[in-house]
Amino acid sequence: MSMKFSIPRTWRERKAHYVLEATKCSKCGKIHYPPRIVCDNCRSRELVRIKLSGTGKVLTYTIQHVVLDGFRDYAPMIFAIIELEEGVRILASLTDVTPKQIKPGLRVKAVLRKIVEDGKLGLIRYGVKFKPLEG
Amino acid sequence: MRKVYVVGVGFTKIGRFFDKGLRELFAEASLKALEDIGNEKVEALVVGNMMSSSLSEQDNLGAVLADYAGLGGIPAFKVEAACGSGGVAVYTGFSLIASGLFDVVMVSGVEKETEYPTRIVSKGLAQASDAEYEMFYGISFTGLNALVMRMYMEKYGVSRDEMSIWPVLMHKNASKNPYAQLPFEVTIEQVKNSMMIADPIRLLDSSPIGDGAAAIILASEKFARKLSDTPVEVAGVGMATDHIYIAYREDLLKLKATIEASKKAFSMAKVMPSQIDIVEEHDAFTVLGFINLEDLGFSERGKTPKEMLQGRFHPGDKPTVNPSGGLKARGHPVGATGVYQVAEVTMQLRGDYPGIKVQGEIGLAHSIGGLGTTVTVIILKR
Repeated sequence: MSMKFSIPRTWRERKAHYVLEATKCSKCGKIHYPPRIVCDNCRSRELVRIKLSGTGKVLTYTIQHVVLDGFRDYAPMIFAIIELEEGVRILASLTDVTPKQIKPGLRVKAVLRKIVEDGKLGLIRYGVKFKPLEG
Repeated sequence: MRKVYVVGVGFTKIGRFFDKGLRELFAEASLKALEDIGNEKVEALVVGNMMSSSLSEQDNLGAVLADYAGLGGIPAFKVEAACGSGGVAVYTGFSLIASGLFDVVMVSGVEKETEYPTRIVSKGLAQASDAEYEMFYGISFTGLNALVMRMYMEKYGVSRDEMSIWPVLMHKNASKNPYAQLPFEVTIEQVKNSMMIADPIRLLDSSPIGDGAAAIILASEKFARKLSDTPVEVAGVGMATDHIYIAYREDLLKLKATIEASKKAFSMAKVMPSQIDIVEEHDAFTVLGFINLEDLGFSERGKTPKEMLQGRFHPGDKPTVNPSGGLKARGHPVGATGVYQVAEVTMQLRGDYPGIKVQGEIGLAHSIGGLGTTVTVIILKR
């Protein structure tokens, strides 16, 4: 049985995926997610790592019926762009929600969830999904 | 910088060809283009392609194709910028001649998409997005565009049926196009009832998966006169890139890279949007068709669907948009599409286009890689 997911690759990105680690520019204050090495606003290289709040609201969403290879068990999948309290935007799946509940403006919070498994014996990828704040 | 001309064109019909792989598709298009210049020699080959690696297990594509078509050991290489590979290949070929390095260069685009089921092809296409922070979560390229389509409809108050004018017009244009993948008309009802791919994007909002190849031959001024009686000038080129992670962009309803690339191309060609007669633009999905026209300066934000419903951009209007049928209905063999567009506009300007003919002096080709991550704009003049 071959493993399709690389362990070091998944490990390398773990903080941004598991706890929404971002970077903040020490010069101009801009927050970047995913983390950056140079601020795209002022070109400063003095960035510090911060954790994002994980609460925000849905800006736009889609219910994806045709899924990528490996995601058939999860279809249909709901994806959204979420604007966090800090003003930063995240692309993520929505979970614990029915399509009828979703509308732009829906308040949501981040939870750690399984994203996809690499077969029965391979790596399990985890990451942040968002669920409704109320109800 | 030296002037650059298109002196030869050739392309295949777009579709599902069980008997043709990357090599056969390329050969068909490139040999036609060579016939267009009396089978004279080319000095270099630039190939636009996205997925030879992910779907055909073939890298080193430039050498593979040059060898197969008997181009004889010339410099040859692939240029990859996802769905925008073709436009970037033309941009590269232009630079090779403008710089003085070569006088005659072939630019081809080729894509073989139909060997595998949709979920595999979708994965290959999704590699145009951010592998670590978008595709990681399972979102497809259609899914990303669906996020934009919902926002466009909500912000500007455009209904499902109003959006459908795009596929309806594109299919109507393609119904006259002998090499189109989907040469038939569709109705607003058919669009509304077609299969949901990623809500609100339905099947008939999406460009199809298809195989195809196109080739053009570019030449310096001196060689252009020798190789063609009707050379078409590449009057302006522009290219720009944008953040790959779409959520990072301030405004999802504008593609900044299109705005930047078109500014550069218009400035180099010394023309204004109002002077353009023909546009071939990158309508991978219905919503992009409209946004592109707004980014290129042909219409106002959010008003394009209603204007198009009243006849704006149809054949006979200036500019006529996608007389070929666009990505939607001519088809979108990913890395080849940008080369098809330049070949089509060239044929329109020299008067031998086989589909809906547009009278005019100046045309524009607009090609996107990813969701506006890489954009080229190329302006052609008779």
